[in-house]
Amino acid sequence: MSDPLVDTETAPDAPRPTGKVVVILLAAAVAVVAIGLITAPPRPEDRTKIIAAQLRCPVCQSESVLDSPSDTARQMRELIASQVAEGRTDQEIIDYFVARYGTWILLDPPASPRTIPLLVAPAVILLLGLWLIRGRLRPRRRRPAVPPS
Amino acid sequence: MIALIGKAGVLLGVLASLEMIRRGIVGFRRPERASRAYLGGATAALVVGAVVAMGALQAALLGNDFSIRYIAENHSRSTPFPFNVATAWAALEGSIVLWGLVLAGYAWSVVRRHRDGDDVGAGATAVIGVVALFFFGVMATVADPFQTLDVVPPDGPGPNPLLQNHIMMAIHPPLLYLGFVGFTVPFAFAIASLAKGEPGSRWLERTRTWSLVAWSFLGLGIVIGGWWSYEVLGWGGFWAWDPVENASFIPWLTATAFIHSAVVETRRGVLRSWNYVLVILTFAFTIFGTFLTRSGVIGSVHAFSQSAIGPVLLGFFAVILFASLTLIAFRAPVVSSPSRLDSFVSREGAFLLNNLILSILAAVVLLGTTYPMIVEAISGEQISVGRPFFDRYAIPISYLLLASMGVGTVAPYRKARPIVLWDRIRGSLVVAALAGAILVVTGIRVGHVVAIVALAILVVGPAAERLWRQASAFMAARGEGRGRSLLRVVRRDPRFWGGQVAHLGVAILAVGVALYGNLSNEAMIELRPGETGSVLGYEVTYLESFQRPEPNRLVTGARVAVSRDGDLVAVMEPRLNQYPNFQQAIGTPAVNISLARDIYMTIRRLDPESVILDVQTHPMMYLVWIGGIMMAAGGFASFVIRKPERDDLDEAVRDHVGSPG
Amino acid sequence: MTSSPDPISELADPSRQSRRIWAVVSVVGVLLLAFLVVLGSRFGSDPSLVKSPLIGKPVPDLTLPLLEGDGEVSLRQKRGTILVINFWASWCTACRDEHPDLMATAAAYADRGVEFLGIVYQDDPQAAIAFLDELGRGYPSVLDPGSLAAIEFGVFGVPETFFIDADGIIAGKITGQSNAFILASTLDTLLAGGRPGSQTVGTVQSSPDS
Repeated sequence: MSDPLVDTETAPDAPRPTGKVVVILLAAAVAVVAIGLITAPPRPEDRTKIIAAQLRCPVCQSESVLDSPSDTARQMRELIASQVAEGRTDQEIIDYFVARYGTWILLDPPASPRTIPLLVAPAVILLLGLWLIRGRLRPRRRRPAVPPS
Repeated sequence: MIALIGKAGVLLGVLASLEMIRRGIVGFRRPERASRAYLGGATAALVVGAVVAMGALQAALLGNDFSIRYIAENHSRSTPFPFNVATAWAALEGSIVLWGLVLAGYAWSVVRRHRDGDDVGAGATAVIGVVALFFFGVMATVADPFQTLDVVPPDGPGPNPLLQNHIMMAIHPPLLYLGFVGFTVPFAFAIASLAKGEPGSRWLERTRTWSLVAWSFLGLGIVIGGWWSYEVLGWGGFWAWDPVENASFIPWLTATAFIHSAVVETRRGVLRSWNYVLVILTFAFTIFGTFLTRSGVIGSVHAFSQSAIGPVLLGFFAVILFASLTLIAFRAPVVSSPSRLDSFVSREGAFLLNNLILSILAAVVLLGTTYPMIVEAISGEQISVGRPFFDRYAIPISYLLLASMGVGTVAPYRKARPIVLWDRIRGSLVVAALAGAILVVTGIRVGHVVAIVALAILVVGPAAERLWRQASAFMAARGEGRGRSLLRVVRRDPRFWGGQVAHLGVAILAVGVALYGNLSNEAMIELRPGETGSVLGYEVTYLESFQRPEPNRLVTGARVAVSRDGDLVAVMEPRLNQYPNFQQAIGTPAVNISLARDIYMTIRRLDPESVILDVQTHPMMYLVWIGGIMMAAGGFASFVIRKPERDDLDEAVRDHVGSPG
Repeated sequence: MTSSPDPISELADPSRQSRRIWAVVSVVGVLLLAFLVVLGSRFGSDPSLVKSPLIGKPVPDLTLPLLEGDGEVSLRQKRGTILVINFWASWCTACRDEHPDLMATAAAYADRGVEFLGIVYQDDPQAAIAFLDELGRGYPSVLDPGSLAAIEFGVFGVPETFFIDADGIIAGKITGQSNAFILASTLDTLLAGGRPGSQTVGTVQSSPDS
């Protein structure tokens, strides 16, 4: 279908003020943002919440210990808080729960032979997609011997 | 009696689907017989069957007919309006009836637009007939909503308390089904077009409205579901990466990819077979989502109980995919697009990037949702895949999507020279960077928030700038007012501007989610009656506890005054609703919405001496809902707004701004 | 699956193109079939059942207050005897059904050095006492303030029954409703010096309405 409204390559839409002002303004604003973010005081991190967010609530369906309003989750949050107060590391606390509930309790499955496919699949899919797109781009020609990375 | 009428309706549906298939195939083979009247007869019977089935279900609910098992298990005399009506889709069997009704409605809309002699349309009718046969067959066998009981109980337990706790739950499933089922139509036309070996993109053009309707409803359904989750479940969130949520999100992602790649095909003639793949996947994933929700193979807050329907749905999913794949393989030489892209840096390049990103996200969500099942089936080991995994991919992908939306919508087709792109986005870039600087200076120094706000401006800005400049051109050419000219610009290309409204919705939604994820606060506080405490910058006073019986439940709650700097902000009533036949009270949060933030309060424990409150603040939470609704509105707008037949101003505009898009 | 490739060849040769398309379709088809078989194999299994990694680990060092009367029970002090720990609640229907079998087994094995202990899981003590008034006692029950014991034992719901051997090692677990036969065979294995491991005989209830 040929549509007269299809926007194809044109000259710049209209003559406009020189780009210098724009570039300077842009650079200044970006600098302000960068400095502001870099010098931002570190946000107080609540280790209890960070740990609870990684654990699956055992009596719920798929909520985390952080999100679940259930009694068990509340008890687990208190347990995490007391272990944090005792000075245990994040990994020690997480291991404590894994020892009792198995790796099931981890919402982010750790790398293991069984989870390797899950962890590499997104990258494989991305490469496959890029390879397919490349096929769409080139004019008809011989297939490249090696897929581009 | 009612059960018998309902069963008759289901049976009529089965017979009508069979007849739709037969007549559809006849018309497909012999175009001269593919008349609207011929196909319409069978389709009308399907509509009658579906309406009778749903009508019987409603009559049984409103008439408290507990001799029907579905009613006895899911309804109670005390269930108030509108939850008694909504009980029709609160459990498995009834939800299939609703599915059948919506499908019949879509089938009718297809036949109404049918032109005599249209063989592909007849074929599509046959495909819809197959889908209808499946669902009415399910109603007639493994999920019979009209099964009767020998011993009639005097009353029933009522629907799941979570489902009768908020009005949103009454409208969420119908919206979702309007979305899910709607994809049957583009799927049916795709299959018929493939089977016919039809050249060109006619099937895409004719099903465009249905695709957009389905996409809009599906998005709306998902957002309303999130809203329900927020207002009812009490954890203060709206999206948990729960398998059932993912089950509706996967087809939404592929459908979003589809409506974008469809634009590329209609405009540039590329991605033809990819569009077939996408529409088939989208439809197949709606069935797969239904399977995940209803088969009991996964645990989820939203899952229906285990039932025999699981294997049937899985089988149907398999048949759809295998049949469609084979068909594509046979027709591949016909459907392969001859043309290629000229450059990756172009509008179609942006569409391609968008398709890649959405497909990857869909694949990741599908993988994450099903992977625990796969691992357990193979090794017996039990693992979980939850928010940390999904967020790790969804967050960077969202950034990429937003970035490609802003630049993509103003990139010219074929090939975009950098100077043109720069010219079209530089104004928005400056505004975005300035907005980021303002945020940082005013103290919001959180990277994600600053970045998303800037990206959101970059999504909206270039399109807004174009709208403004084109309107200016009209004003100059015609001497019309600004408002009139803006309207004229939009009406001249409703597809584009409808899309831009949807993009605006995405931008607003993204900002809402970023604010929610980064600037929300939560704290617990324990108060005795009359006591005032300070939490999250508010003074919170526990006034009293209260208890009031309602027809279907006993409501217990705490009345809490919230004030800030001495000024009363709100009196909030977080509650615990106790339903008969259910032991656990359902906590219902109190939500106070204001321009700046939501105050979200749930009872964690309530006893005579004290109350433990969970208080959360979510800044500008309404952005999430408004953004979601606006996305759907954009989808609707892009086909509701009609383009004027003739536009004498094209030339005048072109003189001023070059060609618009 | 969304990665199903656009089956279009860049090759002009139609027969090679067709062969390539069929190859792609076959690969996708086989993957799909495997996926479906895996999903299909999940029917009938309960997604809420999870295996316990605690088998072979020492019993948690807990001291819990008695449900009725004053006093406490220390799990570690029970060494030397075989201990059967049953998590239960009055709102749990399977607990109601298995309770007579637990009492009978406790009586039958009492003279062979086997002790039973109930741990009340997330329940109102008065409701728990009423439950025992109705169904009988036979062995003591303790309360679990703060659900700490439930977390220590990795409990997902009730009923769950753990078997502790004479050395204080968790040697077996029954998930779901037990019965006299399973209890007896597990205890016999244990008394003979074996490790019964974990068995799943039914579902557990994580809350009164699940």
